[in-house]
Amino acid sequence: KSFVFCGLPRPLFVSPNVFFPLRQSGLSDSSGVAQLGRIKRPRLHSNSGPPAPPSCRVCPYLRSERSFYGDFWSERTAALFREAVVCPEGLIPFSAAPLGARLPLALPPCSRPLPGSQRESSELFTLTYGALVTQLCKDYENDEDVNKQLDKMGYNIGVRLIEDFLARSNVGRCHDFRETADVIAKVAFKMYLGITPSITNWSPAGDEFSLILENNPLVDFVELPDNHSSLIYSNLLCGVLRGALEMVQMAVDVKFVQDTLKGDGVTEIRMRFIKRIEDNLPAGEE
Amino acid sequence: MADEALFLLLHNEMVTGVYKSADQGEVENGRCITKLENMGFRVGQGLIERFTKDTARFKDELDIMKFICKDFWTTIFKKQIDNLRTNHQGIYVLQDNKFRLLTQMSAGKQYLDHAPKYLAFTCGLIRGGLSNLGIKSIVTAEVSAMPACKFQVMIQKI
Repeated sequence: KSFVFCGLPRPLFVSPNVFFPLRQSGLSDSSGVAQLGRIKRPRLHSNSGPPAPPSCRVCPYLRSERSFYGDFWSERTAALFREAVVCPEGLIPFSAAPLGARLPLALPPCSRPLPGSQRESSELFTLTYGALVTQLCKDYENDEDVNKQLDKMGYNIGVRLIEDFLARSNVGRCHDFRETADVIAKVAFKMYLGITPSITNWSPAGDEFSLILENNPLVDFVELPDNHSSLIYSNLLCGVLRGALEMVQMAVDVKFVQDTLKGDGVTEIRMRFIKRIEDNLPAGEE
Repeated sequence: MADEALFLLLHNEMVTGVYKSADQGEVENGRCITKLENMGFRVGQGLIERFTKDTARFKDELDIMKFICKDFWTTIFKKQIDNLRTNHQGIYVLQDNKFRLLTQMSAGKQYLDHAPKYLAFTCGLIRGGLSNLGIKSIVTAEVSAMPACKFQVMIQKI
């Protein structure tokens, strides 16, 4: 299902033959950290080999991709990089890294679990979520209450998850809702659930879009019984998205439009931008 | 691929949710701990089925406990149990010096009285795992200084 990378250890240093020359960009800030200007990536493969990956200005893994992947560099990996926006560690998206971005001095701890246990740790989350929904259905009589409760719990999780996300992914500030949508689909979902939903159905004003999830990891092994037909099983996700975005000053409305558990082909989440949250200064400090 | 952070946050929300939806009487007589433990039991049963699909048959009880301490714990909490003690008569003590679900909470005696809530699910996990491997047990946990904790497993001979 998901691409399992080889278990090669991460390189502890950047091998010298792929180190690009430092160039003084127009930025005047020059502390001890390497400033990255525009990098012309040398072609490391001959024309008969698989294509070189797109240039990533910040991600340390792609800068030394030959030494990192070695013999495992294959067509498949190349194809993955071509279509992915995010490097395999889920660290830094290619296009979102601004010019002259600083290298993280200490790489964040490897969040990638051991190969093989990758699938199993996602099963832990799926099963735990299932147990939670079952318990909620027992505690509350009607589905609407369960939905509300899931949304509230998701909200609480979201306001904390955003900090973890920002610390790990190092994305910069998003300038508009489209960038936000990209980051959510290609970085956040990939990092936490291992899937990359697609973004479609933009409204003409650009403030609403749909996330289409081909397979929702939360609903592995799940079937909805007949007496719970109005239960939105994955409502936690809505709460998480809402809570996380509220912490970055965006009020959004998130709801499920289609759900595989109810017979639709895909899972569709509709996100609508309501307004930008301004910080309220206490009276007297305006 | 669900990250550790996601499971940790979900677990904390679960504990809060169970306590919020309980009446006063239930909180006092430990119904909430039971609910959390039962959730863990069901999850543990499912997980152990998935994890042991391709492993060899276990030789004896001690082998099973070692599996729990090493592979099971590593897959769930990304580390092994630090210390396993037994009296060879059905009592095992699993000691984890840096229990993942408690590290963010405190590093000593603060909030000690809230710690058992956060251990109930894991006790259920262990009990559920053992139950699907054919071992009936009772699992309790104790904490004296966070984040170290001890899980005591008492095997029931039927």
